[in-house]
Amino acid sequence: MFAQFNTFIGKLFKTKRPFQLTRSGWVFILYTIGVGAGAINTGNNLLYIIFGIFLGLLLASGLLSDLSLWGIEINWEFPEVIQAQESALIPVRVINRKKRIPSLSIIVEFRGNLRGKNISFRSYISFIPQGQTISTFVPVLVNERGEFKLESVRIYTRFPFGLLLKWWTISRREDLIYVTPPITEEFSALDLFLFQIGNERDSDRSGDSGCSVVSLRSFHNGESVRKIHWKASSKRGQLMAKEFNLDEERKMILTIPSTQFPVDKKNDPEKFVEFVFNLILSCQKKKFSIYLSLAETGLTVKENLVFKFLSIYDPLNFNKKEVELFLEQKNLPSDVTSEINLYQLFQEFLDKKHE
Amino acid sequence: MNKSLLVFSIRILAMLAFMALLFSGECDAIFLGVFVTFFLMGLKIEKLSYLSFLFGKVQPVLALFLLGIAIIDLFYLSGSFLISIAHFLIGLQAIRLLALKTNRENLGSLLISSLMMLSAATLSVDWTFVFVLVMFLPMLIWCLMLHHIYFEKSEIHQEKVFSEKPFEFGSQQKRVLQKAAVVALMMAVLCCVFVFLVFPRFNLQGFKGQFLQPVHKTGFTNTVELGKERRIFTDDSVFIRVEMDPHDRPFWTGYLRGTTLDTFNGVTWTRSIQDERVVNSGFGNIRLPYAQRQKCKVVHQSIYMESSDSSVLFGLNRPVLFQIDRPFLEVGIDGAVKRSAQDTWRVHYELDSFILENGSNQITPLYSRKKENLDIYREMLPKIESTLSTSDAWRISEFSKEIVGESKNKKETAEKLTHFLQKEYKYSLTLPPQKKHHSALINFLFENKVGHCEYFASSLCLMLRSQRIPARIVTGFLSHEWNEDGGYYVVRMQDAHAWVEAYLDNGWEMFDPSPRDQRVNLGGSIFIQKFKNVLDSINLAWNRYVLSYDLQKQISIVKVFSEKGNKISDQMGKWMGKLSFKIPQLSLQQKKIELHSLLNMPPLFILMVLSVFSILCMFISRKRRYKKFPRTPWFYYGLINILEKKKLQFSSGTTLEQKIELVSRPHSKAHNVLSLLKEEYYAVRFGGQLKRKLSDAAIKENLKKLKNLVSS
Repeated sequence: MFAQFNTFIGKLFKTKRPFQLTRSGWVFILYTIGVGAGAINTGNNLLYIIFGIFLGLLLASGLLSDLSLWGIEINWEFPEVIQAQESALIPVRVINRKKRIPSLSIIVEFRGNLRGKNISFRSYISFIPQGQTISTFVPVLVNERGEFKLESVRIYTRFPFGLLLKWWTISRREDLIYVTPPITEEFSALDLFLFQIGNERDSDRSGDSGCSVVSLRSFHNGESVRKIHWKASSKRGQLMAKEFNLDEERKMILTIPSTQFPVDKKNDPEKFVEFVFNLILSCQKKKFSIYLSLAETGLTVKENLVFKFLSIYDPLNFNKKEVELFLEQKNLPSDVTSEINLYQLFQEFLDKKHE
Repeated sequence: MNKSLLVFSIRILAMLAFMALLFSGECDAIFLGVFVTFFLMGLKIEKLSYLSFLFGKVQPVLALFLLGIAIIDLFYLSGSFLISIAHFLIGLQAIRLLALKTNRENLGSLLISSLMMLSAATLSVDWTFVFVLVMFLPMLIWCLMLHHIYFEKSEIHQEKVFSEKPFEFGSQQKRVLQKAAVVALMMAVLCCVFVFLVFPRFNLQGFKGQFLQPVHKTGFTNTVELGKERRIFTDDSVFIRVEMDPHDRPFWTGYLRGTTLDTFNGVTWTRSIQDERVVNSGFGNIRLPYAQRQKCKVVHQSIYMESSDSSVLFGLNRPVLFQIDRPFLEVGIDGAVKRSAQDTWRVHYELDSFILENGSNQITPLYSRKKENLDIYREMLPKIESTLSTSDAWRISEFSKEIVGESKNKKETAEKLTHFLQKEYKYSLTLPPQKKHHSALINFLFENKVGHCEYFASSLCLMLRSQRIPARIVTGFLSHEWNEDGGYYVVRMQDAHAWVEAYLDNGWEMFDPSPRDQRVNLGGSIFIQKFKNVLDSINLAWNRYVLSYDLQKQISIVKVFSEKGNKISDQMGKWMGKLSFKIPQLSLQQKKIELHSLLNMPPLFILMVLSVFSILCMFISRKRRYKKFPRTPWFYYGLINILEKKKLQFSSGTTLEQKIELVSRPHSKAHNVLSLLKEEYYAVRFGGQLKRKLSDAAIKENLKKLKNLVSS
């Protein structure tokens, strides 16, 4: 109800820099009204003095907060992609264009929309001298993947007494940040799982032929015995594994089947997207070249836009138009190391995990 | 900023609250609560909220303790119910403040507590309130600003309030903050002056304002109780200040008449008269309807009276016209004037009184619409036998007879008795021990022969009644203290006095049986006395200009302005009178209009015209100044026109920079020109003329170039 009333007041005094009363402000106003009523009722002149002072403080609040906001400009650079549940920073340059008056206690706020939810990020700047620029960062932390659509950039202040919250919508420029799914603990075993799968499929197809040894490292349990460099192992007294240069040679096609995503208790579509994201990250770590293709459509996600694609991809309601920008008609390479059906792999992973 | 600055500021605030406590003389829970709150708040910030934890734990116990105090206040200290509740709530708030966790709540509570103190301070109407307020207000503003700056960052970034990393707060920022505080203070003071002067004083009295009455009142009551020591006689605080024309000073007898007491039960004198309500006839004038009016001198007095336990108004013996900000007064047949029973708040009134030129003590004319009322009243006065025991009444009667001897008339009888008491009895405020089987009055008359004015007046009254002369006691004040510095009479609480009025052949006359040297001299050097006088005259000024500023004064100010306006318009009329001209044929009938007839208009209209004219002048001068130092450079609108011709929908909040960016995306070639113009715009708009890089011709050329580039 207070919010509605605040909006009403905001509309009543519609200005470029509207205001809203804070909780302290409401208390202050009620107190002022009380003192005013007491003054009118009793005719006690001291109450009129207090009443006048209260009104003066309210006016001063409005004026000083307005002076703080006036002549402020903001430049910012949005990162294209950020990761959910991982803090990131948006670099911001705040310019005080005023010739003589500095700005105090400014809060920069990016307001936007992510999957239908309103989200805002803020940063506090205590002091901007007149005619100067302050560079700062706005910390961003988003909990879920999606497309963060910037709706407005506001600066606001509660200076000087915290009675009024005054803001100025600096810009309505449309900007986007793609928020990828988070890296979760749940998929930490994916590296090993992938390795096992990869090795099996490697051996099925082409083995290690054609790969050059780049370096040696300690052998981990579960790795293929073929990788052991016996000579080096005997020299060092411990098992050493060969590392191959797979950059050019190892390619992986991840296919999203055109069938409907099988939803059940275990198969959460969000989890699936997280799985794919984590899988791709793991693959990239292993220096696989990834091709994410949509089965039977002949479309592939553009190589550099895979993460953006994953931030908005919905396995349940796949709408081609929504992700059209990220797709291209491309002939997949024939010399792929492995081709993975993602639904199937996800199922396998879950099964293995439950085992 | 290091936290010590904030802690220091809050401590200062605590000290000021303590000063308010001392200055106000109202040793009240409100002040004490706020003082303790501020002091502990300083500690709390210093000790990183340890206290918050502690007070959070013991909060219910403290709340119960406060409730206990409130109950004691209500029942045992005879406090008002509302005030007891208020004490409880305020105390609770103070405790809650200490247990708060979030900074935002801290700020709010700090604010509320400060305001509580300010409002509570209004109960102390002394001028020292302003002294405290003047110090408290800047400190409060400074403290709130610091608090805001200090806690805002931690709240936004959800950091610890006092993290290890110090908060950057340079000397430049401190200076800016000080300037902002000065601006806020100036605005508060200006707004305060404006509201004070302009806001109409309705004095609605919608509710009785018990809550806003002073907590402690001393002094005058409506009864006289013998055998009881009264503090009023040793209280030297000023109760009434009387301003009067210096030429009328010879008429000042020193007596300020209050009310009369006619019924005595052996110990206490009370009043039995029913008062009649006399309604305000407008502009605060209340004329007392006297039976007869005499052609005699009228003395005007301006009386400033502090709050007391009684609603009686004081004045010379024959008040005739009150000018007071009250809807009605209650007037008795004895000439006593009162406000409504609950109205014991401080008051200012103007009073016109009759003065008999022969210096007679006669009280006539007395108030009565019907003469028979007066007779009934006279007869109604109780006989001495009905108030005292038979033996006591007989003893007094015999004693009086002995003193009076053979008198020619009633006046002589009264004078003889008065002189006897003045000569043979001693005035003293300390009463000697009394014999238990005697009443206080009998002890005074026949045993100790020492007492104060109430004993003297009671004795004379009863002695007169024993001689079949109707008599009554009058309570009021007797003072001759003249404040040279302020030019007014000072009446203190200790000047409270009682005397007698007797109904003689020509009506009621006053007799004062107390010895003349009754006044207790408190002593003190001349310098101290002078200093006290100066302070008191400041108090009177405070009373006159601030506390007593009311609707009538507002109206009189408006009247003054209106008269001044009239004078100005008359002057202008005279000045322009010689000028007359003919307006060229504007309508069908050519009219000769004389300027002075135009100017001879209501002053309000003239004022309006003048104000419109001055606004126009201001507007023109601003425009000229901006031409000299343009705020918006001339090429700005040209640039905006070019940008907007691209039919891009710019929203209202889009800055120039963003507009340029939007346009330069499809027109990359125009980017350089746009940046150049943008830089120039900022240089002129925010950097002043001196920082310009391009000449006007160069700007024009660039604009043309831009137009071509964008249109292509």
